[in-house]
Amino acid sequence: MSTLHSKSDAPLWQKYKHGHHWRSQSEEFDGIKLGFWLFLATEILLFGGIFCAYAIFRAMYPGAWLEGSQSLDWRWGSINTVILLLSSYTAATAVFCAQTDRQKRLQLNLIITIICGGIFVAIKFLFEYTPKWSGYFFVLDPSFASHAAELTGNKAFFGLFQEVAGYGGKRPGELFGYPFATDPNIGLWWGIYYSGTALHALHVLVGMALLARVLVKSFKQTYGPTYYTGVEIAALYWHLVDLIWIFLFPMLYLIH
Amino acid sequence: MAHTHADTPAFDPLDPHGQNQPGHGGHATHVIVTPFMLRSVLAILLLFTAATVGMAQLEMWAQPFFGIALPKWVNVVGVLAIATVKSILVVMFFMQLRYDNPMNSLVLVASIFCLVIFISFTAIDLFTRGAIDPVKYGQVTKGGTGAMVAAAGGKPMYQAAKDRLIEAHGQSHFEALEHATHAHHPHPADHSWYPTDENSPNKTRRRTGMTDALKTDAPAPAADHAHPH
Repeated sequence: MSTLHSKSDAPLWQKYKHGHHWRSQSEEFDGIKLGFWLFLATEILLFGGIFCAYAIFRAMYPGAWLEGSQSLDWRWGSINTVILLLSSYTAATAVFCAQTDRQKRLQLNLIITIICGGIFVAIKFLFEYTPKWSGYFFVLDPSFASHAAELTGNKAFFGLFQEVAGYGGKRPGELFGYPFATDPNIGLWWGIYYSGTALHALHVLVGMALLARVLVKSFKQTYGPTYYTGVEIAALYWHLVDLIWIFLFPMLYLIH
Repeated sequence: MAHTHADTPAFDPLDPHGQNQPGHGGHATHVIVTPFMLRSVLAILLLFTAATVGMAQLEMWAQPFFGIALPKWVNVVGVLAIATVKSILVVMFFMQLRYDNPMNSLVLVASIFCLVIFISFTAIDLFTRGAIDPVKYGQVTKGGTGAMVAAAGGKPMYQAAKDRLIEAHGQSHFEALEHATHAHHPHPADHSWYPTDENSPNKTRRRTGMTDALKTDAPAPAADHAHPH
């Protein structure tokens, strides 16, 4: 951008010129936002497939859903819900900071949001997916201590993961191999669980990437009261990720 | 609560009537949602999260404690109602639809409308075939046991996994492991309060309505899941 090398001392957001095909900056902002809402609508329908499968299969196989939801720890789900709500708040605050030209606080809020996303994904993979899929517990997992008597002695990744006998194998579809299941249709539950939460986790990662891009640009004072489209769009995406989790959490962890 | 930009409308030759100026011609104004509002919404969201978790836990505790079996919909409707309220708060204040161009709200409502059609029509089709034409009820074949997976050898997959372990380590190892696993993951059969359809030597359930068990040709109820404790 040529404006980067302008001799003017004005911050970048003041020098932003809207696209020549728009009549005004305000119209450009509204157009982009409407376009992004249309994209968010397709996202809702994307997750809608999983919600639909969840509802239908739950009605057809209530026993599998009961057994499946009891295999999940509501405490991890709750912690992740609180983390995502907090990050949604910081994302919304980032928009406020951009609108009111609080550059340092804008960056701080973006950083907190990205860190929260990272914690969410870390909890998901270290404490939920890995033990269920493979039976290997992360040694820092608080629930690891109660399994100490059932260790097989197998270790992985520099001893950071230890195998607990008879825990793994809770996998989706044809990968299923958990020997202590009692419901014949339990594989369906794990299919819905992994497809729903993994698709959501992928959205968390994409959201983190979007926010990171906004953060990098914000160091150059790209965003301010008259131009904050990027912050707004990344925040909208992040709120959608939060929105999906608001439904996934009770559906998977609380309904029994 | 929220206030608009203090824009100074300068003359724009491309927009001589100021239709794109904030507050003019029905055009959306860009609203700043105050931190107080955002903090309040966050507090309410966290409160609702605690409420939904508390409700599910209370229900799990209350049923065996008072010896009651609440209908299943209490749990489902309760937590999903709270989730709906939470999502409305996020959409209205965090995503700012309350102050935004109504067109954006319309897009959201339209997508939810499509979602409702998607789920309800699938359910109507799958669950009412028998009501319209009993012959067609057989078309809805329950599956999902994974018996067709090659590795399962014709058995349901959970049975194949069980057999693999017994074959590799023996029945006693399986039972010891099952005992340990049950300690952490109670199976539905362990929840005596849960309204299953089976009677057991320990509990007789009153039959109400025309349940399958009242029919003479109904299959015998499965024996209780036995395990050493």
